[in-house]
Amino acid sequence: MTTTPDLLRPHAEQQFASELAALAAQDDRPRPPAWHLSPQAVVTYLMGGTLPDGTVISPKYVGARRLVEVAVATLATDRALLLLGLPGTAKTWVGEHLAAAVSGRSTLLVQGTSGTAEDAVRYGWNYARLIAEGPSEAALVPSPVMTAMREASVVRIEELTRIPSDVQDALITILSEKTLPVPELGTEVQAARGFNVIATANDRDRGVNELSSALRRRFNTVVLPLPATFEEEVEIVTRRSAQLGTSLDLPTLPAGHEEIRRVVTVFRELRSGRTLDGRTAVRPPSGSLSTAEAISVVTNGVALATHFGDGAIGPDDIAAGILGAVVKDPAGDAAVWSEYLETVVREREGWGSFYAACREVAG
Amino acid sequence: MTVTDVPTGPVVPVEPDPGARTGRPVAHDGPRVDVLGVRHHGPGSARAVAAALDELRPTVVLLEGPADADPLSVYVPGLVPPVALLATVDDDPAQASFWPFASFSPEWQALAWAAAHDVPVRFIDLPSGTVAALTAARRAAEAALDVPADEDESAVPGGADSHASSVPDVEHDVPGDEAPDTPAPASVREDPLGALAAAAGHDDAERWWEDVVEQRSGSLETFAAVAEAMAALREHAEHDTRTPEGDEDEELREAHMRQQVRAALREGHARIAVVCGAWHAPALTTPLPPAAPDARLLRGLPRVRTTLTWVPWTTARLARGSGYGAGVSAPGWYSHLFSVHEDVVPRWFVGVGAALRGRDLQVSSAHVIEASRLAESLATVRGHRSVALDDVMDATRAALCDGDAGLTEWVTRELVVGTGLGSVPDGVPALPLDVDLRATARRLRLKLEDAPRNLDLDLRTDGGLARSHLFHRLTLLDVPWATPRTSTVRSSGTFRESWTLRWQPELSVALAEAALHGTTVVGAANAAVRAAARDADLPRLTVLVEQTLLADLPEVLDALLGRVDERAAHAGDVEQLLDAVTPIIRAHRYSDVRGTPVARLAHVARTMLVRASSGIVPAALGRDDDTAADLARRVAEADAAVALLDHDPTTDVWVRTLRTVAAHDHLPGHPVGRATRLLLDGARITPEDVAERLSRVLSVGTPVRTQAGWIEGFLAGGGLVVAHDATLLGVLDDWLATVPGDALTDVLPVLRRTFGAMPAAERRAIGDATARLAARRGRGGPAAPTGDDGGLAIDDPRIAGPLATALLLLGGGR
Repeated sequence: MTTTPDLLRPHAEQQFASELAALAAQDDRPRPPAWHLSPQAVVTYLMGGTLPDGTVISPKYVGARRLVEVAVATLATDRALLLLGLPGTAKTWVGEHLAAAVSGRSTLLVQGTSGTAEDAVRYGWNYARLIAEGPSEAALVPSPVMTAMREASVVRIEELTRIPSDVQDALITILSEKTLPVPELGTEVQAARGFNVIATANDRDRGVNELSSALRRRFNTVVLPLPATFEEEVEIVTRRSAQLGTSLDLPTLPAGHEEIRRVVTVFRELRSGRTLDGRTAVRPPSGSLSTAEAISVVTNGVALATHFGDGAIGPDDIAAGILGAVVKDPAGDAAVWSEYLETVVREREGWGSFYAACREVAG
Repeated sequence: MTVTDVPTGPVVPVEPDPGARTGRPVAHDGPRVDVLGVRHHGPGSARAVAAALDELRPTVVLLEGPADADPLSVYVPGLVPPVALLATVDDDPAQASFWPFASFSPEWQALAWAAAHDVPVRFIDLPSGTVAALTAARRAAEAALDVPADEDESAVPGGADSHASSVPDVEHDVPGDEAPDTPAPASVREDPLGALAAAAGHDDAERWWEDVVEQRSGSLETFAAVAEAMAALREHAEHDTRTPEGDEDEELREAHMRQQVRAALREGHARIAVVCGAWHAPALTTPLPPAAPDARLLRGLPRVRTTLTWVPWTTARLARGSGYGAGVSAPGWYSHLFSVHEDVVPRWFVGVGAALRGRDLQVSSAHVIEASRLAESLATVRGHRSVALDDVMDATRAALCDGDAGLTEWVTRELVVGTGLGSVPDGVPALPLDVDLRATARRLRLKLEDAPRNLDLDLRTDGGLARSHLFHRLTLLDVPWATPRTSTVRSSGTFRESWTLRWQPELSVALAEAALHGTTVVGAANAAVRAAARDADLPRLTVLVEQTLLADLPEVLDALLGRVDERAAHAGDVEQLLDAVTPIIRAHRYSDVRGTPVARLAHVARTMLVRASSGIVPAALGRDDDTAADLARRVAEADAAVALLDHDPTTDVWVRTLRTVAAHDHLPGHPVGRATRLLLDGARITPEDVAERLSRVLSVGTPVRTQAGWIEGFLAGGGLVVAHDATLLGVLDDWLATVPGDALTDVLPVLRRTFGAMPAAERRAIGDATARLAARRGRGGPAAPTGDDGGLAIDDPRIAGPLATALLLLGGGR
């Protein structure tokens, strides 16, 4: 499936090229201008399914179908899409796959940071050329946004709320007038049909650089929630850690492996402040304990077991990872973790070796 | 049967003459019977019924509904929907049935049409008394067989497809239980039109009806087509091996309905319109089969006495899927579909926008346009033929609410469900409970008025006490006419209660629901307590005990205390027990004040105390500082309540427990300190003893954190004790001076919290005492340096600078 096996992390459109090709081949529904797939096929690509010819499309997003439908429907109108959620709720992941399915590429990307300048949203200059030749089309360095407008593609803007407000507002004209004026040349770039923006923003960062209401109005907002059920989260962790493991040449864990279930149990219990059976209250730690962290705990555990252990992942392989994920603030979280170990883990049947491993790691 | 069993191909008429089966007028000049098969509470059906009636101009309208409700149809012009027909069984009010009507219910449209055109209305279903008797008989049979009743099916008397719903078991109903987002797939017989829609791949039966049925043909043809489809469905259902419960009743009901149609024909009506659930349409279509079998079937049916009346209803109650709601998940949306004919989606979003603006949210016309576009686009992506409610809600959230779940929920509550409240005119027969309440209110000289009024009651007077009882009983019935202005629990020992009285219109609905518990306020309150106690946990039970005492319901109190006792025996959680003990003891203590002595209360209080006592030590073992402090606080609260028990022998057990805790070496510091203090305050141990314990705890063998916890627990009961006892203070003082530096950093926050929580005066007293102590011990040593006069010693070189400045300020000069 991977076209270029030497890459550490292939893009979505590379990794799932065959699925995209199969979808495109069998997609007989109308496609919006410049879209590589019909909206329905995009939804199928994200949620998974089986095509008429038997091709199996793997699910990319495990969660509510309606959220993906809203996201795709938004892109089909000319409104921009804002994916909102806690860290680790697959915002970037969903954005990348949407871009790959809609435009065939996920590479037009602006990474939002507090240092993101207007150049990254509008255009910059090749200064050597600018000085030598004066302002000209050739001296212009287009931003990913400008490229997307020209080439009728979807552009992704990561962490929109981290971008300073004045730079954010450069997007207003682009999103409302669908044009990017270049006053230095007296020209403009008008967006071709099929251009759109997928932005992601972090729920916890709210207020860092809150979007102006003028900009906010140009977005439809989809909030990606934490996995709703235990089984759903187990599936996500299994699937993603398997994908990560493949690119790291690590063995794949069977679905619903005991240690995956354990990690997910610990994460869900600490996150929600109560045990899964609802009987015992638990103090939640300061970190967000996202699914993404659970995935990395499992992947680390597999790596540990493969390289240093007996090859089979066990409680001692995940204990250290969990400790690192839970204890973010050494003072408060350590107490939370130790309390959880004593009140919940110690008494749970079949968790004896995990308890011992955690105690050993915690020292 | 599942929805997948529904035939999706063309519907084949089952009889050679389709006209005879499909409700189309039979082609001769005799009387004409048109059967309008509807979807209960379906706006599409409602509109079609209104149009069909206009076209047909019947001389009588026959309606699926309890036959004994006929006299009530005269009140229809004065009713404002949503309303409900309520039938209560006279001997057992908990056996009740509701028939809710919304403005968009086809049945309501038929009633309204008949009222407006002065055409008589007959309800043609089995009388409510018969339905109740049949249900009771079936339940008795089930109980005899010891077969657990399937709640969903037995909940609806007289066949699962009736539009009535009832609450045969009040305790099974969860008031306030919201309807689920997506209703469970209804069975074919419950919602045959929904099943057809589902078979066609539609999840919103209303929009499907709109698309497929209504917009394609005139209303009469529509009903003919529906009857045809139902005939095929019924044919199919007969082959179904699973016979749903209530099948027998369905036969009875349809027989009864047919007899009523025959009666109308006999009366000589020329044009008869029958409005019934679509499922029954084929059974009622003329020509009717011979009457004899029906008459035989209906002979000798049991019957109990029932009382029927109209009660006001709310849209929120219509939305309830369980209990006696109509199971209409979106009454507001349905009402919109019913009243708006074109531009359904944009008009809806204009309404949402206006509502959000009312909450000071910036919603521009552009937002509304974008939301409409997104909804349309979503419908396309999802393959809906037209925009359905879930498209609308998802678009609302993404485009209007910034993805905010809370705001979307608010929109759902306010608009999708709606806040409609029906009303019933004066003169409609009142519920027995209503009559009793009004009579009681009159006797106590209280008026049921909308304007809020404050009332202070003196419980030493008979009138004050009686009023208080009434208010507390109504609170138990969830009819909050009177709301306490101060916490009644806390003031249960006083002679005074303050209430605010306000009879809001919604209370009529609440009262109608409360009527299921009984016919009098006292009886209903008793039943309500009994029902609430069934699944309550310990804390909830103790609250109920207090409320029951306040409401003066001795009859149920005994049973309630039995439950408390039982629950306490099974409670594994010491905290729960400790929390429960306090209100029970308080209730025991103050039951005398309110003139309701209850012997059992004392017994329960005692056993609970014993149980809690035995659990404290094991529960405290191995706790961390915070939870141990929490446990200590609860122990102290319980101790305060125990003090109310005076010379009860049980207190010895409690004191013994406190002694065990205080002497325990392995418990966290906090509870030990607290128990020691409680013993000291109760003069169970001497100050010398305490000093000895303190010095033992504060010696080198104990971890510093435990020591700090001990001190915090000990001083949580007030700090003056150390100010008055030089020995204790000395021990403390010595300890503080010898805590090693890094350990001090560890315990400093705890100490700061301990002393910081004391009032300034206490702190000052301790400070003074410390100074005196140091003075007695002479200079040096661990205490603060003092001067010769016992005051603070002055470090001359250091004070010189500030002194000079102060002098300068005071105008002294050098």
